[in-house]
Amino acid sequence: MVNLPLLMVLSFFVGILGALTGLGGGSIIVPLLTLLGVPIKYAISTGMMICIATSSGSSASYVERELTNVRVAMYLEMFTVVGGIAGAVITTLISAKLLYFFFAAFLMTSFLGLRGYLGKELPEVERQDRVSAWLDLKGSYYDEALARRVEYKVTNAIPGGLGMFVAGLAAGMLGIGAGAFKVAVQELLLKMPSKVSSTTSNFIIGMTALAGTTVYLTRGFIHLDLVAPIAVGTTLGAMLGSRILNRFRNVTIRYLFLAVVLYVIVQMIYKGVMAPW
Amino acid sequence: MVRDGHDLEVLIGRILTLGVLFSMILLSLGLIVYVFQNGGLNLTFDESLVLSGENIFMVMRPLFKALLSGENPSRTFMALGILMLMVTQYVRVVASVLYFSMIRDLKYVVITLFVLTIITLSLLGYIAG
Repeated sequence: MVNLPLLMVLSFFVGILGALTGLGGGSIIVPLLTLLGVPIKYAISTGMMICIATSSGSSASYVERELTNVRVAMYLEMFTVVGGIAGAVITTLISAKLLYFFFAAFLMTSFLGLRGYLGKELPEVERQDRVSAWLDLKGSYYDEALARRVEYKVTNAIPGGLGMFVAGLAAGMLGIGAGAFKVAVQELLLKMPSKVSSTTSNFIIGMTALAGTTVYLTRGFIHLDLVAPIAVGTTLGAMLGSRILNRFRNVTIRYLFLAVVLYVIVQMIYKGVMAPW
Repeated sequence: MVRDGHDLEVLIGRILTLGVLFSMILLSLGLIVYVFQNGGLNLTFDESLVLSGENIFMVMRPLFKALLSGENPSRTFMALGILMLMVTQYVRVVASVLYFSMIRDLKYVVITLFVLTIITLSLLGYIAG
């Protein structure tokens, strides 16, 4: 039986995890809810709501402490939002089975790529490309774990933007926030420090999820029974998570992220195998 | 005083904090009334608790009416709390457009205006997204 305290506690932990890793948390909660017997149509709209709650709950403090790079986020939002809409449009044209395998493969490559520099605390970008410099994609934040101010430059604005478009596609096609894709693109292509990457992804995810709201509203998928307690739990969890993130090392955040990504990959492959041709 | 160039962060941070605070208050009120109404903590999955409409604005109108008449307060508060979370995200884009216009950063005015347009169209139901 699904009850309020259970949902709130569950979503509280998803909120913490979401705030720390930059994953919206949709891919964590949706399978759990369906296991509890919640109809899938209500479960997926809850996934969207969790993304918005994690985003607002954590970004309030991330943005003020300059962990989130707002300019980078706004630039990247253009791509994810357009990708999300394109994804929703073409999703009917391609077999779901292929989609799951395609995105599982995409995540797998990012997983391997990220594993490659697990040992590196911060990325090193000496020269930005022209577009990134023109867009002023750089910043600095105070790192509590390292006890110093970290200056960083973001690079590869164009390939990074295209990567975010693909992340948006995944979000639109599969109905997920696709935080895992965003963080991977931001770290591997744009070379953002892990903390900046997960907080910036958190910020963007709220917007990507918002773009999908109308679909859920018109289809009548939003059940207040479910989303209200979950929104409360997630927001509180995300607020707590956003207050502890800066004490961890970037490397720790990356381990946590990889663990969740592995879980998402397994889920994608499972869904791909189960989906009809 | 805030550090140079830090104003946008403060502005957006405040918007998000306020939005989240309001939304938490509304949701908690709604949930408390809900528990009293049902006399228990189990979910009812009652059909009347489905929030649906052509777009976010169409959903809002009857809610304000219900708020004034005081009918089914738990549903009204919960729905307004959820919508508040969504609206907060929207307001932060509007605020960024205004901010970049004020500091005359044309590149970012264009970027944020683009995002705002797409989001508005999608919230109005013109684009499936």
